[in-house]
Amino acid sequence: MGEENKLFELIERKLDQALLPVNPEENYISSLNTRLFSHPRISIERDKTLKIILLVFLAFTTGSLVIFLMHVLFSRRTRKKAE
Amino acid sequence: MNFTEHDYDSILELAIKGDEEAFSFLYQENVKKIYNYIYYRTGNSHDAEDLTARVFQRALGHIIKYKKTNVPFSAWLYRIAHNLVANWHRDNSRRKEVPIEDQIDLRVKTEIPEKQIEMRQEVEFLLKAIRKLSNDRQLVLILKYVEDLSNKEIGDILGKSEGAIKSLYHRTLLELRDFLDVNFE
Repeated sequence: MGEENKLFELIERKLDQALLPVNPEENYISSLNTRLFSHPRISIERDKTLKIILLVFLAFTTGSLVIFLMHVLFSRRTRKKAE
Repeated sequence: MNFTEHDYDSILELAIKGDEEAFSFLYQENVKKIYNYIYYRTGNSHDAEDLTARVFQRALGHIIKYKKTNVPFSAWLYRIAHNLVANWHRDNSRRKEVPIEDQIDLRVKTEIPEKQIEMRQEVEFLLKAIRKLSNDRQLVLILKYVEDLSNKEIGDILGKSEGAIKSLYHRTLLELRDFLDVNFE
């Protein structure tokens, strides 16, 4: 038992020498503090190709519809006049 | 706002509500403790800095979910640190460990008396043995020797009684004794 206690005391003395407080650099502490609360300003650029294709398609469809409606309207008028 | 006038609980409540200054206060109070814990678990300052930063980034991101209990706030930070260190060990299991001793400049080393070199080797050997212990045991040693906390205070952090910590500490010394015995033979 006495031997064991002596060995424990020796280990404790060695632990005292080995486990000393380590201080991080003050620069590191302050820069991390700043980094934690800095909100990055990032703007995301989305691909515009899809938007353009959709716009052209929509314009084409609307144009075709207008032409079709005008055609129907005019052909009715001409038929009425002929009658 | 001067947080020294507030009690720790109200600062914590403010931090949970998203107050950056309150969190900054908690950061200043705990950063050295967490850095020390990680430093002794990883064995080098570079990874200790990197992981300490990640601990506080994660804490800031999750503080809204933090539930106040009787356990100190630092226990939550130690738990985050433990998880990150465990991941770090898993990811670096194949990487060669760089001992603290190796960071000393070799030119300086030649000027150090032999006895001091021997002492440093002993310290490094003991640190290696400590890193082989379970997480709880490592934490007990770090809190006891580096932070100079009592068994009661360590118990508060680990959520255990003073008696349980005393017994855990005893078992830790036994394990260290066995490890050192085997390796000295």
